[in-house]
Amino acid sequence: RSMSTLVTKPQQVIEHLAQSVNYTPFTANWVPCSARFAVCGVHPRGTGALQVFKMQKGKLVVQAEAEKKSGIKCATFGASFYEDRHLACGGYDGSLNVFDLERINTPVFTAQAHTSIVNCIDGCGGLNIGFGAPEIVTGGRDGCVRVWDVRQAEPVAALEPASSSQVRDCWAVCFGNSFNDQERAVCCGYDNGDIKLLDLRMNKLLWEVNVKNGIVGMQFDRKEINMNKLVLTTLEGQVSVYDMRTFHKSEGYAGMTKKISKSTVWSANHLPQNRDVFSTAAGNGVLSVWQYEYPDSRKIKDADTGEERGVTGKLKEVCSKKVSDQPIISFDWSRDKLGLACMACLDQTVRVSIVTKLNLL
Amino acid sequence: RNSTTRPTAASMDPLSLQLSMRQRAQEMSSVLADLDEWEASISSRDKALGDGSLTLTKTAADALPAVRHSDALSVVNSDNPGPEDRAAEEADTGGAKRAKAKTKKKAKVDQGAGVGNVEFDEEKQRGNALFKAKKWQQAVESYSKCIAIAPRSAVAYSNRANCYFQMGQFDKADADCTKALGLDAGYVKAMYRRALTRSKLGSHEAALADVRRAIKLAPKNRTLRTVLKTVKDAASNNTASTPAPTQSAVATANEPRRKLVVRETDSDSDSDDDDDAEDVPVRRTNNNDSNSNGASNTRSSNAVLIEDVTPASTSTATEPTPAAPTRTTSKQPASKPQQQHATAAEHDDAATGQRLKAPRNLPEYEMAFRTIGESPRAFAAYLRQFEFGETQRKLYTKIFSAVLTHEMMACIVSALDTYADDQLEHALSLLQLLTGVSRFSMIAVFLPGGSKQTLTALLDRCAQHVDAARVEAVRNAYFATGDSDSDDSD
Repeated sequence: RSMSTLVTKPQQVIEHLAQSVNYTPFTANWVPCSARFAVCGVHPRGTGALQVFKMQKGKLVVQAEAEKKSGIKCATFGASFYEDRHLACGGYDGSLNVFDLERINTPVFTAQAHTSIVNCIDGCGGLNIGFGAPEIVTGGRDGCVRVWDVRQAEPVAALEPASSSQVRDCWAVCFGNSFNDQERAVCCGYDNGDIKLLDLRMNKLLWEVNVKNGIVGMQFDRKEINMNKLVLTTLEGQVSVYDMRTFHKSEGYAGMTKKISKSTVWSANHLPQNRDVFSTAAGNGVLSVWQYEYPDSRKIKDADTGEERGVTGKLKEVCSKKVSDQPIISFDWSRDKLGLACMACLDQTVRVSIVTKLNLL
Repeated sequence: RNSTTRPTAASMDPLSLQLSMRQRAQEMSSVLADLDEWEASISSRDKALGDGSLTLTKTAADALPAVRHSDALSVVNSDNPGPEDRAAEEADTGGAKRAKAKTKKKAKVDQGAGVGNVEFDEEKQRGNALFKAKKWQQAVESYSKCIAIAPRSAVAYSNRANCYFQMGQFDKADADCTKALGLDAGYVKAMYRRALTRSKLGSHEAALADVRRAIKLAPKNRTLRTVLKTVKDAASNNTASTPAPTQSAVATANEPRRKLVVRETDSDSDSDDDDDAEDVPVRRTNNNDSNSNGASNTRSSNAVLIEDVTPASTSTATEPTPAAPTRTTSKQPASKPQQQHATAAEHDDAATGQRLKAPRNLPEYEMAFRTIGESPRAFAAYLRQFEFGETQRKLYTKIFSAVLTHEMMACIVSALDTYADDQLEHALSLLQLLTGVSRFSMIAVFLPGGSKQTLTALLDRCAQHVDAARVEAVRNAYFATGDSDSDDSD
């Protein structure tokens, strides 16, 4: 436990625990309402790894583990009820499996979600977040994005490339705008920088734009409210924040971009307790926490057309720390303890860190 | 490891540096102590959630909104905003593997349907009774009522699917099974019912997948074994490339009329019959031709001309030598009329032989030989499929080394004898291959006299159409002892 930064800012990142694993971990997710987190990845021999760690008095103890047929690339608890603890995993073979952590060996739901690897996954409707039915969305290398409801074997909605010639990998998906039982939106990011916003109630695309760099991570600040802010992280170390409250007819949503690192920023995760604070995990192993400062007025009227357009604010760095030499590939804030976070790094470690004094922000 | 973006340690004076370090250390220890406390309290909540003594979810499981767009899957085409219904394509690409275990959540949902619901149970019993009485349509109605009472009951859908299956409405059966599996992914009965349905519909791959999944779920289930066999048979009959189904096809060659009768009157939904329906058209035309004479008649009429080869192969011991020259001479002109007098029986045999593919291993060859070895034409058609690439040569040599006897060689010779002139090259290659078989010389010595005559004639024919030197080499190999008159008893 090394000393953290010697800065005068109150917030600091404390590296609490670290544990080596003998596989490449790709995802780390807190098990809701617990001091445990689930890590998934792929063994060198190509099989999938799923382990549940428990924080126990200064140590990480493996509480459950299973080896799966194929590697697991992404996972989420987002569509699980609190009592169930169902982890939805996307596999290398394109399968979507939902595992009950109490019976980790056989999935409670499985579907062949994509024809090749499932790159990204998100869940909504579980954990008392969002309204409406719990749903899982997966995005794959085959360029398709599919939304699943575990009560049905076939997907409930899909976004597929029109022609098979120009298929772009889908690298990031997230749910948002789930403020009542029917409304929900899915935002998808592709490897060429395309963003597509799909409204699930009307089943049509609301917004498409290209940000020039491949989009690796994406998250709405809150899933259960009217779309407020969308944060994306891309290759070339860029982070973009879009104001989703004001839609301009020709220019869409207003966004700002900030280059925060030389390497890829792998994910952006909003703090469950404060929707204007989010973390970024970068390819050089640096974990940073940012705060979005709103502008004085969030929208202005076009002088000539009278249309409203959004105005973006500024990003301020709260604190940062280099926790590893290899990329931090996955990061998750705990919903139950402010500042507690687990992450998976490509140096085959899983780590637990605490960011202090976030309540002061 | 330290990254600083503010005044560095070096720029602060030692005293304040020490102070801030101490503050940091204190802060860290307090944070960690607080964390330990939190760990303990959250663990107890965690356990309570797992036990079921604590419930946090605000909406009850049955109060969940319905599955989105559950009736019509819309696929948005990402290049043209707007829904495009590509439900069929979607079904293919999203071909689902069902869950492998009943889940707590699913059990909750199902119980909401069946347990304690008296009306539902009564209706279900009614439906079961109707089903037993084979009143399929009424049973369907009864189960439909069950579904109306409890829309999330997998049992009702599965039972209705069974009714549709009995009625032959396989599409509806498939849909209902799928619905049942959607509601209860571990429902083994629905799974294998769907496998059988899909087998009927011709989707053999999907059927096999379903059966295998069911077996994984319930390995000890006996019914599943039979289902698997049925589905496998259906699948393999379709491709008709293995000896086993061909055997039934061969049986039909020998008793064509009987098979026709079976197909027309039998309405049992046994998967085997479907495949016979495929075989029969091939047979039927032939049978119609030979119906008036009967296959045996045509055969015997040929027997006078050429087919005495058959008696020759079966009763070689009694074949008198003088008959040989006459036969040999009659052979050559006979070979031409042989083509012209192609009859239904010949077509039958040839078709039978052709249906069998070249053997990939010993059992296949043995089976084929047992089936059609006695029939020269059929056997010839079979042998004609042998290819003489490197690997095949080795394979055939191995096969023959294991099973070749002089009787078999006699059959082969008879079969090769029926080859047309342009096929003699192949015959020669096969004969050559046989010379490489172990114990060949012994076998060749014991070759019955009649066969030796046939072989000689055959080789003579070959010499006219194929490289004479090769023929000579083969001839020498077969008649190494120089004794062509050996008439050993079998």
